[in-house]
Amino acid sequence: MPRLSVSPSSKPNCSPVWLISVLLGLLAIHTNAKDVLTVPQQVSLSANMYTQHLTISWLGGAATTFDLMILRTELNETVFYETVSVTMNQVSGRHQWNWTSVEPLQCTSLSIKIRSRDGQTTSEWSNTQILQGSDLPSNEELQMYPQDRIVPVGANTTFCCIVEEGKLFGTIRYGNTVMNTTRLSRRSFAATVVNQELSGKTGTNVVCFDNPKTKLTGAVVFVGYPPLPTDFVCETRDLTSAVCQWNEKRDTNLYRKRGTRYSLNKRNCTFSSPEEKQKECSVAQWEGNFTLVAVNPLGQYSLTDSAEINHRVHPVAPVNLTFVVHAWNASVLWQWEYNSYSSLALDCQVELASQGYKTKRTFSGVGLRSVVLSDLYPDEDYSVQVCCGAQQNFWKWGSWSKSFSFKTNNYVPDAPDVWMWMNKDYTGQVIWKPLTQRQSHGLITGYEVTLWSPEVNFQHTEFFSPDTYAVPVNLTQIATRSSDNKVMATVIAKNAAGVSQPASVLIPLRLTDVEPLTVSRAVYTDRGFPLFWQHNANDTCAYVVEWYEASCKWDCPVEWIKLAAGNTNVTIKSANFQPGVRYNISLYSNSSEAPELLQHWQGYMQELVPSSSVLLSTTQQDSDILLTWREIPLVNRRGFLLGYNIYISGGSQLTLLANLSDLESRSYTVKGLSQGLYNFTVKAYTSAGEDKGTTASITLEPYTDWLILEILVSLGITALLLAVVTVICYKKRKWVKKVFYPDIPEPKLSGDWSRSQGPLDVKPSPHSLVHMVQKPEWDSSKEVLVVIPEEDEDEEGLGIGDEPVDTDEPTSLRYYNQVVDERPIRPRFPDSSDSSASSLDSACTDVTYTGIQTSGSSLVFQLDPQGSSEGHQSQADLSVCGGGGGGGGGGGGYRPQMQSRAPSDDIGLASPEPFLEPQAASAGGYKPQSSWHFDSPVEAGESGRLAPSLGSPTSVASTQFLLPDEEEYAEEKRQPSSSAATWFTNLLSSTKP
Amino acid sequence: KNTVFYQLFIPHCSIHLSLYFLFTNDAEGRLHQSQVAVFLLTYLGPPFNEKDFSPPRPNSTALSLPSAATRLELWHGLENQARLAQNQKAYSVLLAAVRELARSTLCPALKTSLLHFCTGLDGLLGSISALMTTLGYALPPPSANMEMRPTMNDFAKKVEGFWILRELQSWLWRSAKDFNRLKKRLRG
Repeated sequence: MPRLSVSPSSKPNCSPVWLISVLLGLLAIHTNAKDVLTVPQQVSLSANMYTQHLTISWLGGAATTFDLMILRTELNETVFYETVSVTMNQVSGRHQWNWTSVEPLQCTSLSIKIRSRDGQTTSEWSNTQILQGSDLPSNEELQMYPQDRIVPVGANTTFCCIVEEGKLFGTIRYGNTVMNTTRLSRRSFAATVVNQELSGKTGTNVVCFDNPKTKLTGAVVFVGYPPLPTDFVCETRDLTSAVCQWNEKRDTNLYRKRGTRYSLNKRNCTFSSPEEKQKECSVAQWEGNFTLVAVNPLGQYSLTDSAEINHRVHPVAPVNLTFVVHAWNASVLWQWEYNSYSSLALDCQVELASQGYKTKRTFSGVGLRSVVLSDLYPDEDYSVQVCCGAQQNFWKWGSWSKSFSFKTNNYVPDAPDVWMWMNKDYTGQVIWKPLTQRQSHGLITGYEVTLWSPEVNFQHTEFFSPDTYAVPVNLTQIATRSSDNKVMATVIAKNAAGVSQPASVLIPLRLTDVEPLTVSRAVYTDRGFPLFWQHNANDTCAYVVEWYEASCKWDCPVEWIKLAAGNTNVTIKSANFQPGVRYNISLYSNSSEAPELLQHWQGYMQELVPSSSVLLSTTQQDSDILLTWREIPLVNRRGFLLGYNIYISGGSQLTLLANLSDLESRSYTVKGLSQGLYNFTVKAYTSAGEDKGTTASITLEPYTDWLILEILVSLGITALLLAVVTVICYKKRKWVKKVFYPDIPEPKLSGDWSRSQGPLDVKPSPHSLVHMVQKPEWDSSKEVLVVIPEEDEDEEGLGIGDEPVDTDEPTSLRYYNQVVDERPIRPRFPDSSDSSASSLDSACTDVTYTGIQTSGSSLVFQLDPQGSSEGHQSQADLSVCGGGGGGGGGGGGYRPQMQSRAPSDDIGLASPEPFLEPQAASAGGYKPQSSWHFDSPVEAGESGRLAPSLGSPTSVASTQFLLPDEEEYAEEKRQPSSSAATWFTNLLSSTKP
Repeated sequence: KNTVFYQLFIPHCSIHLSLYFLFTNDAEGRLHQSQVAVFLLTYLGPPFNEKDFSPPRPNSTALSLPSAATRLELWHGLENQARLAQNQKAYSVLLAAVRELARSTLCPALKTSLLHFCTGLDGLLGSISALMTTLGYALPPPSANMEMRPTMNDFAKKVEGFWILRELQSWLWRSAKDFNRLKKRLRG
């Protein structure tokens, strides 16, 4: 408020007029300013609830700067207080200012007041205008704002909840999250969601609960993206209209009424399938410039494209393809959907597919509607597709037509490829190669084979079925009659279209047995047998190369290849080549004369070691040993033999004696051997290696011929000497008698010796001992070769080596001893020969096993039913030894497989099994799974306890059953319930009566 | 879990009524929502798929159907005709509502499920109408077409969908009892 101020003056007389005039001037200025700063009048509010914009307008006079204050009416909290510059609208003369509220405008009432400002000077505040919220007491309901809001990803949105009159506020949840809230008014509470993420298809629910949760209300917010189309391009198909395409680069996450709307050159586009990312929209006339506008609630995006129509021709697919078919060519005709194409210069691609191969041929023409496809094969299926593009200003290939198929007509077959095979006599075969589909030009109906010899006026024709490829011939008769050297064989193939050109081969009659000059080796490479030969300059003949298995002698399955004249090399290939098989390969001249053998090769595709060995024999020649062997049969050689290796075997080792690379010498003499047994091995080898070899044994004996002579001579001399002595003795017998056997005077007895009665005490003379002296017949016996059995040496060795380590336990008794062994268990060192025994020692099995066998003890228990359990116990005790960690009845260790039987009702039956049975069960003895039966009703009560073991293997170490039955059963029980989960789809369809 | 379903064969008119509930009960007899209900509620988003969520029932056109929760003594006193007429009315309204739900859904699988369900409801409605005709009862007049629906906000539409499902469950449950009673009376 301007005030008049009068300053005290110490000099009242000092120009008071000037001072007063200055003060008055200031006052005047001040009063003038007070007139300009009018209080804003007629403040009016206009609210856009969706955008949360508040438009404030007022009459503000000349002022351009205003203070705006916005308060929450109820709590008198300032929401906005700023000085803003606003110019006056010249038409209405009003000032206007827009404000965007963070909270929805419905949340609570807002008070707005304005004042003019000029520098530090301000006018009075205008009257307060109130924008009424929805939390007025007159509106008692539970409410939530904003509703159905669509916001971009990353936005922040404030929601408010107005609780019901008289109720308490509870919580605000955004999806699953409970939000922090601020109070806006008595009933209004706000929560702000920041950096919002994409919502679900049905939006994110924001729900407000009161406290306690008796009522709720909510809102749905959709979080998505503004549209973003890409790759916008227009083209024409019918040469008149435009078809524009584009892609949706990003899913806006907004659908249906919130989805993106497209307009092309300001015409709305509609889509048959809105879900597709690739969009297409048409304009009836080519306009040259195209603008696509994509709009959704979050924004819009424009794309443009411009081009001349003839630069954007994308031809449609040709339709109604028809064909005019011949044997070697066909015409393809089609139609265009639009007449305008008749003047369009086109390039057309024809895709021709046959036998799995595709080829493309290109044709050109104005309004092209037919092409001729040449170089086709007769009797072949083709499928054809056509697509075209504009010849000038090519834009892109058009759409492919549908695929159409046709089959070319039949044609006469090609002449077959004929060759022959002659045996050593006048028999043989005329053979030809089956015609391929591309050679037969239609289904072959048969072959006609003619043999003729012009000289003897012989002609014989025969027809054969289409699956004949070889015809036997016998030329013996012709050969005897003909002086000519050859017979002509002609083969003609037939099909529905006619007969082929005749294919002939000359069969030579004068067979030459002489083998060709040399047999070369043909070496197989990865591609076949490469062959080379000399070319005679004056030779104009063609060639035939034939090959067959060398082991074949009669009617061989020969393969061949025909070569034009001038060739000097070829690589022969065949799927029939096999490793280890020798092939004869022959080069023949092929001219009007009979084929003449020019060159001969042999080769292996791959050499292998011989499949059989030589047949070896050994003979002793004087003191040498002669080894001889036979050749390996050709089939078994499986490679070119390079030589033989001769080995002598000592023990298991072979020592090479000799290597014979001369294949013709198939004998070998081993010299300088002493007497004894020898093993010789002969192995043939090829480039792939040695065969297994043949071993022959021989015992080298002394050379006996002289010995026999010696014996005979000495015997003769002895006999002669004996005869001479005998004769001399006979002649001089009297002398001899006199000298050696003089007459002994007869003893005479003086007295009667014969009557003597006493016993004759005869004592043997102490000197009458008989000495038996054996004298060897001849000392040369020491030189006799004694055959020493081979085993001698080995037996000795074994005898020492096999000495039992534990000599007090003879091996033969060992097992039995283990069974009844009652000695304390001695620690044993692991010993391979003893390991099984020691393992038996440590296990509990042994005593149990004997227990089973000796039924006598069981019988005792059986007679006393009371004591049977005790007896069983003691039995069990017996079975439990101190072995290892297998404690108690669990026992551990292997038990012999037992046949479990259902216990009989007749307890008295003398059988040990009933008592052993529980033991076996408790001890976990192994039982065959399928043999467990509960036949007896007595046991039925126990089946509850034992049932789980049915069919289940039981662990030896524990009583756990490896297949838990109950769980499985439970699983089965659960099965129907899980299937019930899908009841809806299964059952609902049948509700219809 | 076992599916609760109900079949009624009324011999003298050779009409087969079948009901399949929108819920299943478990071993303890507790009821659980069926797959399609869970599917729909999940589609609506939290908290619609929460167990204790219960928004107030809106009074929208789609839910202008007789309440399944009739008081016991009133329910006992209902005549066959009234009983069947209420069923007929309820299912004709509910069928239209479920069809609208199916139409408005964005999820193709849910749409298929709901339309499949509509086929079942349509069959049930046909059976009830045929039964009424056979028994000589007049069919209730077809309910007024869905007139211009007031614009509802998205949340209110979700609540309506939720309630359509709940009403359907209640009605299917009640129908089972109604048809049992009907069978007894017709036999008697």
